Amino acid sequence: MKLTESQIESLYQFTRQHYVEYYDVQVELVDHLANDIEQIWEQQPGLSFNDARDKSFKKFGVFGFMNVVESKEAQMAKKYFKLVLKFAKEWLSLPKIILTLLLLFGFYQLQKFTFGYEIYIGVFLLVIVAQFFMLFNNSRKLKQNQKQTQKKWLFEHVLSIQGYGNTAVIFIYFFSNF
Amino acid sequence: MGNQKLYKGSLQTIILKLLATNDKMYGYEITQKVKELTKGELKITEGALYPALHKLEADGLLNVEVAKVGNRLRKYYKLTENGTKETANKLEEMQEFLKTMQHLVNPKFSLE
Repeated sequence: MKLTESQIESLYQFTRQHYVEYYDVQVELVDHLANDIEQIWEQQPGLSFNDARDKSFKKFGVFGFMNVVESKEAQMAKKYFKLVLKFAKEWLSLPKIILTLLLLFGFYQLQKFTFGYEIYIGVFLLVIVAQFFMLFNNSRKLKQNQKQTQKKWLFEHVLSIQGYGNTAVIFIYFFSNF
Repeated sequence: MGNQKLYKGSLQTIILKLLATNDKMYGYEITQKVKELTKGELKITEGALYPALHKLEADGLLNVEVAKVGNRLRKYYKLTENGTKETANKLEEMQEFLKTMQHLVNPKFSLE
């Protein structure tokens, strides 16, 4: 016996109830449960859908889906850092390095001006405001997207978390300046 | 059913080997295949299988393909080029391991 469309949908709900928020992880778990339920029905055709589902879920052990979500998060974090590394490698070209060094030197020279430190603080504030604006804009877009599609993607979540981290780092630099 | 703990360290090798012989597989299929091949002696638990698959994917050994099967989506795993190479390495390691264990638990063999 095959699962119906509405039973599949209820499995998605079931994974959400068990703290699997991300659609990419849900897809895999729903397919697994569905296969297992169909298998269980072959042996015990009389079992109700809910009983078969609970029987299948028990096989995941006391931690339920937690291990699966955690391993997926670790994988996505790895993917993210690989991306960052890729960008860092792209930056490693001579013109870009020279430009960076020139900017650094110019920035250092600013100290000679009377208003040097005010300029530093101004630039810092500008960067922070720009960061906040981008962060706010991105998270608003993400939420809009989630509302429209009813789906939450793990990798997008990782990206936005790193964005917050990034802004926090800039903040620390700013305040350690005083 | 034997001691499942003994199989634990070999899970990745088992998965890689299965994918090397079956091209692409999905999670549930892997658990069933292992059960079938070992005649129920080894049952891969769900809580261990998916973390292992995700780890292998993160390491760049596996690729993922999503396909619509019936009324649901299914995630297939496939070996990457690196994965194929790594499978050979892991299988070699496994042979070594089996030999060493053989010597340890059955010292007579080492007298050859």
